[in-house]
Amino acid sequence: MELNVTTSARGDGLPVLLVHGYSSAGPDWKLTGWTQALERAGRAWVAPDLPGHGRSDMPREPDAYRVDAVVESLRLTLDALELERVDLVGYSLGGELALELALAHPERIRRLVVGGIGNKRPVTAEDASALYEHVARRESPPPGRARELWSYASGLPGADPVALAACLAGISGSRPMDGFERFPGPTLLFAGTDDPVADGIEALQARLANSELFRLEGFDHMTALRVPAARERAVEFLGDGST
Amino acid sequence: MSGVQYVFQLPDLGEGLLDAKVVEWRVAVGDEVERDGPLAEVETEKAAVELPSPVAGRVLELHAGPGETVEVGRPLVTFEVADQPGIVGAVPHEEPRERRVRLRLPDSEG
Repeated sequence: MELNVTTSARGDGLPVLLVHGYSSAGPDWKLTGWTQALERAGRAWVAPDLPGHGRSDMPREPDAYRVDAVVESLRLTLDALELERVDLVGYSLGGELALELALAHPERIRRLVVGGIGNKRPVTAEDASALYEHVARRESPPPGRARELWSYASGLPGADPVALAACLAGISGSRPMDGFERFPGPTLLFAGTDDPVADGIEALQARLANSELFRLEGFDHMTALRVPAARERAVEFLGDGST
Repeated sequence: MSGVQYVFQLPDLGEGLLDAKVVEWRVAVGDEVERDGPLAEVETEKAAVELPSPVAGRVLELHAGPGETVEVGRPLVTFEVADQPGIVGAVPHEEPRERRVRLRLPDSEG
């Protein structure tokens, strides 16, 4: 597996690992203003393109995208860059991956920021699997939320529709989102108030002992990542990375 | 101010995006800007982003009006920047702000 990774050229303290969501890519952290905000605070950052996205490899089998497999890719990314410990930020699917990475390797994650997720995935395993089966056979997939997400993602430049269907199926078919209360580190959760993907974020927060929740009034799943208040709060929460 | 001209071209803003639309200029011709100071808000098909100035200098020309689309690599702003002693016609050396690396990850099964 080869991953394309964008990193800051300079910065102090622990680097910040930025994990993007479905149909996004590492450079979107720049388009949304996050890398600039981190740089202004003097922080170094690392933004991989997840498998199936950006310029990274795009396997076409759902198993390549199971949550534990992608989390392992993120751990190997830290190893390859010789980053023993980082601050971690994830949005949407990247938020789930960030929580799982923090759970699997709590000693390597100092502070965690997670946005745009609730307490369950937006697509069921059955719907995502049906989508993949149709797309892999070059048939039109059944209507529904899975097709909407996949169709949007597949229309972006450089997208591989089969890989993106496999990604949705692999993630959605992974074990349920669970056990996040075992991560002991400080955690900031954020989401727009008009983001249905983040339904249940209060319940998620209630399970995280050392956490706080920041709601962005009137913003939805796409816009919450772009509003300056979100990144400013996150950068403040992460601090200078020296402790 | 004795200076040299520096033409700032629209940078590559991300995956496969070929152009961007100028939503709003944050500077006008004649303004002095600091390096990393806000230059313009531009919008791609994916997001709106604020472009910081790559140099400190005075704005000589804006190459697009609000609402106009600029292709990546085309001139966006011409600055007059301070001349460097002993160097004629050069522009200040810019350190890269970011790097791109390609990682080959070991097989997690092995």
